[in-house]
Amino acid sequence: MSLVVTRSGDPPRVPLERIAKLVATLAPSLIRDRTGEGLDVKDKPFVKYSKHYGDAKVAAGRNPGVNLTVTDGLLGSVAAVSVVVTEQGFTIVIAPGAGTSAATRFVGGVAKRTGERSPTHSVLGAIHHYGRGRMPARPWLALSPKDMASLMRQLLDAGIGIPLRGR
Amino acid sequence: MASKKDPTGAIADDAVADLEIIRKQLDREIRKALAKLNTAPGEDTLVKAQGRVAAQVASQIDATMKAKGLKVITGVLRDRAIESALAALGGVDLPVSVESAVDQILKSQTKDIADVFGDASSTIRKAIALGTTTSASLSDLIEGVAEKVGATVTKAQAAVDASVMAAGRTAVIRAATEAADGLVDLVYLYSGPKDSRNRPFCRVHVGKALTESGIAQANNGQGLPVDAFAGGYNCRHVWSPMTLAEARRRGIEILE
Repeated sequence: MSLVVTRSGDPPRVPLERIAKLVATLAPSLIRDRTGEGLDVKDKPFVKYSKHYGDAKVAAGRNPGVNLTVTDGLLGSVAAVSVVVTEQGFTIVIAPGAGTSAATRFVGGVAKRTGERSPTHSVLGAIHHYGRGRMPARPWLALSPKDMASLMRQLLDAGIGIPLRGR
Repeated sequence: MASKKDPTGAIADDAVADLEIIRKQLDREIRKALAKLNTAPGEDTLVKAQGRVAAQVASQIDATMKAKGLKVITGVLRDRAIESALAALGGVDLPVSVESAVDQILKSQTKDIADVFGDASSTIRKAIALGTTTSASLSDLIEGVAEKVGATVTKAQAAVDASVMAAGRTAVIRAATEAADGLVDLVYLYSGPKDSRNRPFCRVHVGKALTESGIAQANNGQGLPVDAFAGGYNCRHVWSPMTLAEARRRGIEILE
């Protein structure tokens, strides 16, 4: 996802580059924490897991909710991967990383590592976001309305009032 | 990162050299096995076919070890997306403190990667020795060695991922501190799963926020710095920066 800020009017009190750095610091956490709480980009609960997978996950003592976590590597890897500041504003691209996690299956009431590694987190994130085959889309990689409100509040805490637009 | 003084380069070179030794050992042992097959009477066609397959597999193992070994080691430390992610967090120019902190993590963690390959040399050599002394079939021998190679690459990848995660945690804290300096007070939410697999440190801290000094004073009981490793090696938790005021608005407990 990318976050775009366009400047108009008088120059801001705080230089745009510093604002961009602060937003790049705060925004990934909002996506990570909201997703971990089981809410999608519209702040609605994610589409449920299939009964088979959900039951297996619960039997293994894991959180019964849909929060896109098994190893937590995917959400832990979300970061700002690029910040571009121009005179007009700045664009921040936020994405999961290029690392991998231990591939895990829920079998017989335990989470078993298969010995393989997962696809890279960026690929895994896209599969969750857009869905694939029988796996439904669970859009997570964007700032939800509540994320955006929290981000604006936190910028105001820093004495910064700017319009933000996510896409 | 590693590019300036390249402290990780020497370790990576050592690990690659180790892989080269394994490859040469493999070549020798596979040739011996092929020679044995050549002496088997009355099986010319089969021997030729097996020889061709063995040569192909040997070259595949060779290519896999070289390519994957190089990719895992140099790819991660020099080229992977974490570098651009850290650069982005720190702005266009990576601040010196973030850079040196990340360097430190990578330097200490790359030892693990070299160790993985070191351990592998010994287990692969044992597999070859066992295969040749017990007259196991050529295909079993090759399969056994290929399995060890695969497991080694997986282990190396896991070590790499753990080091990248640790470097990422450190970078988040350093970059956030610099971004907020003089503008706003930040705290760091200990974010991630709350389940039966939590370590004692994680159970106590998850869902709570710590100040930077709180993180510096915290002790995970694992002998590893909390800012980089959170609850310990391979910890699933991360630091989520937020303003102190936002943490208070959300009713999050703050540990100083």
